[in-house]
Amino acid sequence: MTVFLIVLAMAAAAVLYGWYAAIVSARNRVGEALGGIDTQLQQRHDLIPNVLAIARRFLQHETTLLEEITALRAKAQPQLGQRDFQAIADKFETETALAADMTRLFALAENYPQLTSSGPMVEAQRTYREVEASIAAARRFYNNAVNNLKTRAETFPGPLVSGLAGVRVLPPFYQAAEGAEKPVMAVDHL
Amino acid sequence: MSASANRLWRKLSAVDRARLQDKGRRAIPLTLAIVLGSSLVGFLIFFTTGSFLLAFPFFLIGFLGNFAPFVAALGAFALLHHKFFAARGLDLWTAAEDRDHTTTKDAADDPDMAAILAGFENERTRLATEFGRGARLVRRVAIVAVPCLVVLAFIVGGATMVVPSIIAGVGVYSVFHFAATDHHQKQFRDAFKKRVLPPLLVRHGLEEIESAAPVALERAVAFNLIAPQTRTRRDDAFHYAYRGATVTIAEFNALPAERKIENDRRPRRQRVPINGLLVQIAFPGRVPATTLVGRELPRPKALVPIRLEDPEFHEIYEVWGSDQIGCRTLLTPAVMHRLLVIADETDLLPPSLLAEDGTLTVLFEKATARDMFEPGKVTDPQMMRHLRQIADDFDAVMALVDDLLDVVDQIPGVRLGPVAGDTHPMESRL
Repeated sequence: MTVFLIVLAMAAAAVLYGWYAAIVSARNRVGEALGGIDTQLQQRHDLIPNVLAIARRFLQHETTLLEEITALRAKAQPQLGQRDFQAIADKFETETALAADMTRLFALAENYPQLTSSGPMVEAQRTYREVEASIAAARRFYNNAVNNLKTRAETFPGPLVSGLAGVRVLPPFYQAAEGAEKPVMAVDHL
Repeated sequence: MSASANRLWRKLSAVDRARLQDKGRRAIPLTLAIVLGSSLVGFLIFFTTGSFLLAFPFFLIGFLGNFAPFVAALGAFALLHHKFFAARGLDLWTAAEDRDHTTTKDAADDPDMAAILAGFENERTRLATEFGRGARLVRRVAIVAVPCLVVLAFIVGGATMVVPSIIAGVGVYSVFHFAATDHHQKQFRDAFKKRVLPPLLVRHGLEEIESAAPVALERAVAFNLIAPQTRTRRDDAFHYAYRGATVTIAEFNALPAERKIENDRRPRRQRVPINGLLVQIAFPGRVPATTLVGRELPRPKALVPIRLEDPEFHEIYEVWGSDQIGCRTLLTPAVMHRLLVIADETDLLPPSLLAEDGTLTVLFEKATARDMFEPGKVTDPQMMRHLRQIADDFDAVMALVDDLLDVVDQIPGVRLGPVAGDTHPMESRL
């Protein structure tokens, strides 16, 4: 009986250790994904001043939007590299608002043919689209990593060892900007 | 029956065909184990328990297993017939009757093409006559020789030798028939392609053709996407510039002896296409990360597994890459869906893919052994049908290339040229 209990305890310890290792691995994967997101967001932040400089020459009447974008960029910038999950959630919210404003800016630019046909703006728009594609890829990687971590941390015996593995608060998902997930109706654009 | 089987096969999506193939591969060893193992289990139960009633179900399965070779032979015959005979000469691309054969229809109205075909008719008639003469000669000899062989076998070996002698006779007849006729068919094929292919390619907007240039397969071999001894068919390899990229199209296959060596040495968990279509696109710019998409690949060196979110994609493919985010930049949800459906309405399976630096290599495994870009049988007097067969292959392959270029165009940092308008008659099917 004693031998059986010892074997049982050792098996339970092995399972707990395995689960702990899996949670640590998943947590590190989330950290890696966050690093990837930071890199892509930094590219967006670097691009915004150039886009604004080109747009400012034509969009004198849209100063509110331009200032809002500048303010959001300034707010989001110091949050890069943040590893506090609450701060990360705030950062994602700011970035989502920034992305929405940039989309609005490019939509407004459509009303100014001189702006949309200018070479630098066309190039900036294309580069911005590419950066957005990279951000989307980084977001998918991050959300995948978070999903994996949440599954491991919330499935028994995850709750027993997640604290030991340094996962007391679970990271937030990075949602796409509102409307981005909706299907595009071609009819609306004709 | 085989025509309806072809239609049924054609109706399946590429993913369903791949699933069916996988199920077949899994079912064969399992069935063999059940059939061969059940008699053994029956005997064990009988000798240990002494109860025949308990062992009876296992004996029954073992008894029924005696019929398995016949069923397997029938299945193998049906499969080979479908792969090597029924598929030939049939249009297995998008339901032929539903398609508007733009290229061919135009070609029929084109006086230059009509003149080429008319000028070629005399040569076809000559080759068809020689083909028929050879076939008739072999047939006449067979009518006399095969019954003699059967009678001789009966006299020498008794009734048990009759069936083997019939099988041997049919086999020898097939070999002689092939030997007497194939070179005429080959001559027809070569001459047809030599004369008709260049103007046909120009009709597809492929003006810069370098069929003799070698196709670079080293990287695909290095990542185990195809066997090392894979060869591309020299007469069916085309290079051309299109939409700002250099596109290479080639049929590939592994030689039988080399294929056997590959099979013997290949690790158990690996799936290599041995017969298919290669599309290679060299484009300006670079992919953000080396990306390898395949089915049952061995672990490649220096690449990490990429677990993507699409469950259907994950069921069919394994993905490896040099960077998690870079791979996802290429494999967006839209691209994943596109790769799954790209081979629908063709007789190809979902493709394997290698994206590295400025090159995208895509390998489509063929579901049948049908050769592409080939005319029909020399005895078919309908020249336009021969032309249509090749034109259909080009139409379908060009549509695949367009789809793949759309994928390339989405890669950040890659700037392709505009889609050609009038010079290219095909539109992307997606």
